[in-house]
Amino acid sequence: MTEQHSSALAGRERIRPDRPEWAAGDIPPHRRPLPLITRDALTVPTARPTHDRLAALNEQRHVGTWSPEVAELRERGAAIRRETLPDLEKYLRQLTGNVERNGGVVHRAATPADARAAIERIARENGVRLVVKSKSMATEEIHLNSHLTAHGIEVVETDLGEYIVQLADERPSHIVGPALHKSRQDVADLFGQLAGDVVSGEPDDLAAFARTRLRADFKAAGMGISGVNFAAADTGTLAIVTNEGNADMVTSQPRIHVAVMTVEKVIPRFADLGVLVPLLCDAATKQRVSVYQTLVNGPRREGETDGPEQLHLVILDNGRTKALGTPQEEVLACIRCGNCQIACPVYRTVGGGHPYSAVYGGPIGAVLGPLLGERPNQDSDLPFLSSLCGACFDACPVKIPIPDLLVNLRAEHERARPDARTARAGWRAWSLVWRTETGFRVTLAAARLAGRLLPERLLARLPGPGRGWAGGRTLPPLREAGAFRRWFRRREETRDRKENRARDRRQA
Amino acid sequence: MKRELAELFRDRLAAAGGLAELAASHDEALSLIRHWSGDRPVLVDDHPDLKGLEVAGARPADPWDAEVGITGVLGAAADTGTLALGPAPGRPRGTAVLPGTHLAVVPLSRLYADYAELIAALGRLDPMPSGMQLVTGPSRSGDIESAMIQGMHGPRAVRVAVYPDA
Repeated sequence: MTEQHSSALAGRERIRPDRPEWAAGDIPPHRRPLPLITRDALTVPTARPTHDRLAALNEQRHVGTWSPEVAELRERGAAIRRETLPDLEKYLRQLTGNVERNGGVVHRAATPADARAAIERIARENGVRLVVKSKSMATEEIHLNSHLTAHGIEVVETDLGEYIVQLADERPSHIVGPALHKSRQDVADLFGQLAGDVVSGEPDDLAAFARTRLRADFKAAGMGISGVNFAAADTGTLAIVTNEGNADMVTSQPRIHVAVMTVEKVIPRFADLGVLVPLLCDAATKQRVSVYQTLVNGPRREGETDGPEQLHLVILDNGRTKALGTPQEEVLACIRCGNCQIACPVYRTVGGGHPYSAVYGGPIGAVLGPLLGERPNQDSDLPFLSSLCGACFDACPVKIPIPDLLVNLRAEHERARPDARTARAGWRAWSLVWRTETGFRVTLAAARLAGRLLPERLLARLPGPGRGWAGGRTLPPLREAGAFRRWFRRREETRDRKENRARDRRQA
Repeated sequence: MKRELAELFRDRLAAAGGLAELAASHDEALSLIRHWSGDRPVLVDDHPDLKGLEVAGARPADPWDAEVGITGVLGAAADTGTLALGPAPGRPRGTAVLPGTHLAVVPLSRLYADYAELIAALGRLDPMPSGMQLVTGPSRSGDIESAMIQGMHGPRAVRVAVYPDA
């Protein structure tokens, strides 16, 4: 078997990277405060069209409403996804036993480093030079592509959206639609640079371009890496859901298949797929079912001429089991449909998931991010990137109370602040002052006065710890402090006058 | 009853971009397949439901060069238009994925009312095959501006002949 270089990535050096730092495939280890990043994000030219596309999807799909048929699936799915949580380890052991009985090898990985090492070892021991991947958010979490590449192994994303973001050196901006932030012209420019030629912007032509190049890699690759949507404990079946058919290629043509899942993907029974697959597909793409569900029960058997000779399952924890037994464990019911992202006005406005500067953007990312182990504490401010409007809860196929979980995380973040006591004292003092009308009026007058006397530049630069907070935020015009109250009072007075006149007329 | 299921299957597969014809007999189903296949290079699974099928096209030396793949099914679901395939010796996974056209025969006795019933039936297989492919229409992608692209990595066309069996 000959393994050549990737055809799909040939010419990659011609691509001029054109993306903000916070959209990069590998997230910088230290990032700027979120308000600064989101302020930048609004000025990126793709932000507005992305918002419009996401808003259109939100409308067309009536995100947040459920047909009676799917509403019933939603109840059942929500229950099934919580069944494993009280004893997740039991189900993982059962799954492991059955995958091994089916002829697979199971690798448990507590950390991203463990998972990377396991996969790299499998590749090295088998002399793998070229890897084809079908979509996997778990491998995004462990930054697998750059790790393998650094070890001389070429990795090619084969999902069309993933292939696009890989070429652009970005990470997926949406769980299900990785390239939702790109227009057809953006993609045509990217493919054009890759090919060193002009490429048509018609989606069918772009798809054909990608298909031809990726097909050569499917044929040549020594290893296929896939994610896992559901893993049935009772049979050891790994279910992978796609529309493109790339998972069927990745799990059947290369001689080794490595499936990567996170711990919560385990489901009790094979039969639960009958509920969870249609539910996932309705929420993710409004299909009854996706085009393909690839069910893997082990390596090829005697007499079979395709399918992998080796099947490996990597089960990654990455901080998730810490949440078990706490109110945050609800996040582990997630089935990664991406519906909460489309439903979220903040996610839409900032142009998708990149400005969250985390592997998972949007509401679910803001809940999941702080749990994941690699950058402890750094993502604890993600839950503030939400208006708490509740649209994510309505859109969730397994009824995760995302707004409640966000509020819990905000409270935790505040408690963990080094200046938590000072901050609490400040809030308490504020509440005392505003409890009386006089106190309230005095602060308004003081703010108005400060607004008149001090130059605006000074006000925008608060001293000390307030400075970091003020970065990326806009101070309301202090000169107009109390304007709303004055407007409201005038409105009341006008209404009173009208009512009085009406009464006078009636009496007359 | 079964006739209605077959019609539902046909309508739902059509909604997913595929095509199903209701044949009057197994022979008629096979002649539909023969007709659809034409003389293109073809992979034919070694499946009891395809016994007696003769196609004009030759089997290419390299399965990647095939333009048509012909399979039987483990089962099918009417309310989604889904086919379930399982690999076995003589029935490689590639038949339904590598060529641009996938043709299949479905006997009514293995057409289930809905997706959950199909899954339940697959769960009862003992032993289960080393893998299963559930297929609902042609391969597609919506990754560029959510525009529907038909025929991404898998087949561009999926055609099914449904027939009554005893």
